[in-house]
Amino acid sequence: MKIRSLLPLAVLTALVSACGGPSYVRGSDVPELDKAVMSTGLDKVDLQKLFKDNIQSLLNSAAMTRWKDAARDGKEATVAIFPVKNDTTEHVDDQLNALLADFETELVNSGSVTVISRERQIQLIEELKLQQSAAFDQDKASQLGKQLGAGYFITGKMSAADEKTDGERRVQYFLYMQVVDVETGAIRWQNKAELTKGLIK
Amino acid sequence: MAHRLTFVVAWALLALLFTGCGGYASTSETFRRSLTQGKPEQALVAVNKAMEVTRPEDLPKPKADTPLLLLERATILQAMGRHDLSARDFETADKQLEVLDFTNDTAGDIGKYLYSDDAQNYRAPPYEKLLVNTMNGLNYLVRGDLGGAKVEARRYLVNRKYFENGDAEERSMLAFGSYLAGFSFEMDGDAQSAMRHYGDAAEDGGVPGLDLVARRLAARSGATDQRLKAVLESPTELAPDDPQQAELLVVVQVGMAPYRQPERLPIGAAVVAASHPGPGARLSSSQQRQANTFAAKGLLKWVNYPRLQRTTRQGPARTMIQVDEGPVETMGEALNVEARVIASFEKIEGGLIAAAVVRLITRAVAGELTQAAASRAAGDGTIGLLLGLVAEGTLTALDTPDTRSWVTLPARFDVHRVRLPAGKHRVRAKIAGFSRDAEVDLAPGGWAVLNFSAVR
Repeated sequence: MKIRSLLPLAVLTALVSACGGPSYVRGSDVPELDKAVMSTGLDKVDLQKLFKDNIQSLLNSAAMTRWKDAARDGKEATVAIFPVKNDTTEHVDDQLNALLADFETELVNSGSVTVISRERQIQLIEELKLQQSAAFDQDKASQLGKQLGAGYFITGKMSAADEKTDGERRVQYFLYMQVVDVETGAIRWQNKAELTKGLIK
Repeated sequence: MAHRLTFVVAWALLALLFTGCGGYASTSETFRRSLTQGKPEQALVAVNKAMEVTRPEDLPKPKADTPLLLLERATILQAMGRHDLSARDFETADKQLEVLDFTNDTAGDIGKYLYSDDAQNYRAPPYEKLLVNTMNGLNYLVRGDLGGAKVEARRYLVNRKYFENGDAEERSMLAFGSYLAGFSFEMDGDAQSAMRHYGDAAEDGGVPGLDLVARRLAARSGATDQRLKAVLESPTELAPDDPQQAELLVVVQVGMAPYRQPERLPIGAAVVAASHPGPGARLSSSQQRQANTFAAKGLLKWVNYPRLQRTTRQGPARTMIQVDEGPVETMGEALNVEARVIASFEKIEGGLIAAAVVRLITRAVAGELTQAAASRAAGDGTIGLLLGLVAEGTLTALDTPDTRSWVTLPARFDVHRVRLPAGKHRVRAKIAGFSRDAEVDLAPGGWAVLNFSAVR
């Protein structure tokens, strides 16, 4: 009887002692923090993968070789970076912009091309009263590139296959990126990077 | 005697720990009432308080009711025209509801039959899930953000596929979301995708004005869909779209859908209602016998269960719309949420009552067992009776009817779509005795979406 009478008090103690407040942490102090998958959207690890897959392909491409050769001849190519079209089921536009910022940084630091400020492009798109999607219409994008004084533009499209069953949701992302010659409309480089996020029981 | 007293006191304390909660009906009453009084600002304060935050910009700590409360706040913010924050709340709730859907809840499933109706994680019914993306798509359309609207349209499509095997009533919920998805793709210049969504809308029962919209799109772009074949092949001549005109879509949310309230039902009526065959677990014949035995002993008298409460007796009045000094027209009913909520609840009501009766039996059995065991151990029938009552009382205190539902959900969505000359226009929507006004400036070949919310 004595033990049974103490049982509810023990439960009470356990309930009260379970309380603990949340605390802010620094990623460098908690290495697992960046690895944790918090949603089916894109996080830092996903962006690093997509960036790495694409930039390595671009740096090893014939387009890059041509730009380097032109730079050596004193005819540095001018490149504009247009937004990546978000055709997915997630609101990842901000993350895609972060990805493009990484592209911009890498190209600027390569010293092989002149990169047109993305700020200036956004302003021009506004001035021309073009929808954001106009940047992905090949004709309009070429027109925009010319107005920016670019010889090439980098653009892309992120699509996703999103499926849901009783026990799982799976989002397969496909990022297509390309370099387009403004004058001819010819595609000088193209690459596909992919990754999958999911929510499973 | 001292250790017995400790036992009783500890049980009483445990009971107290759990008795503070009056269920979601109690949590939501303040903001629901504020909205019915036409005071969304007060409703916003109340819902923030329920989430233990002070500002609409703040996101709450995750708790059991957080996804639902975020849906409530998103609806209130949308009614106030704060579409950016509303979108953020809808998106956060959407993700949290999805996680709950995929969470194993064995303890909750058992608890529903042992101690409390709302012991399970909240699982939003299909119409609530579909409306999250529909209403959030509106948030983006109003702000002119077709990229965001198309993301919501695609999310809607994933859910639509998930629910398209549902019955005809469930499918009737799908037409309006497909129509808005079609509008988003059409305005973004993707005619074939738009036509496919319009085809979905037609298949699920249609939306007022859909036929004309589809015919105009087909005439302009050549886009087609087999499901709209009869409409698109209509011999009636259609004037080509004037490029100096623009498209205006007006969407009005009217009234509030029925919500759940706790109600006491006599045990006899409850056993009858819970024994009819239907969806959800019903009382077995042995459970019926057990319930009747306890009822005959006078141990069971009432059952607490959630009942649906309509906000108005006849449903909200029709919405009228006037553009500039033009004629006053009746807006078309695009989606009757109220009817869907009622139909959905009627299907599960018997199962809810059955679960409540099973919990009642569990309590009565627990009380009797505790009384018998305690009487034997203490050698004192009075103490046994007392402990039996405490055990039953504790379980009774734990039992809260599941009144969780999206209580601020609009009862109806009305639409009006018109082509107007480019330039400024004044739009007035008249809803149940009061009016909402807005001015819109349309660019040639452009578009705009106006949203008036009369959630009350």
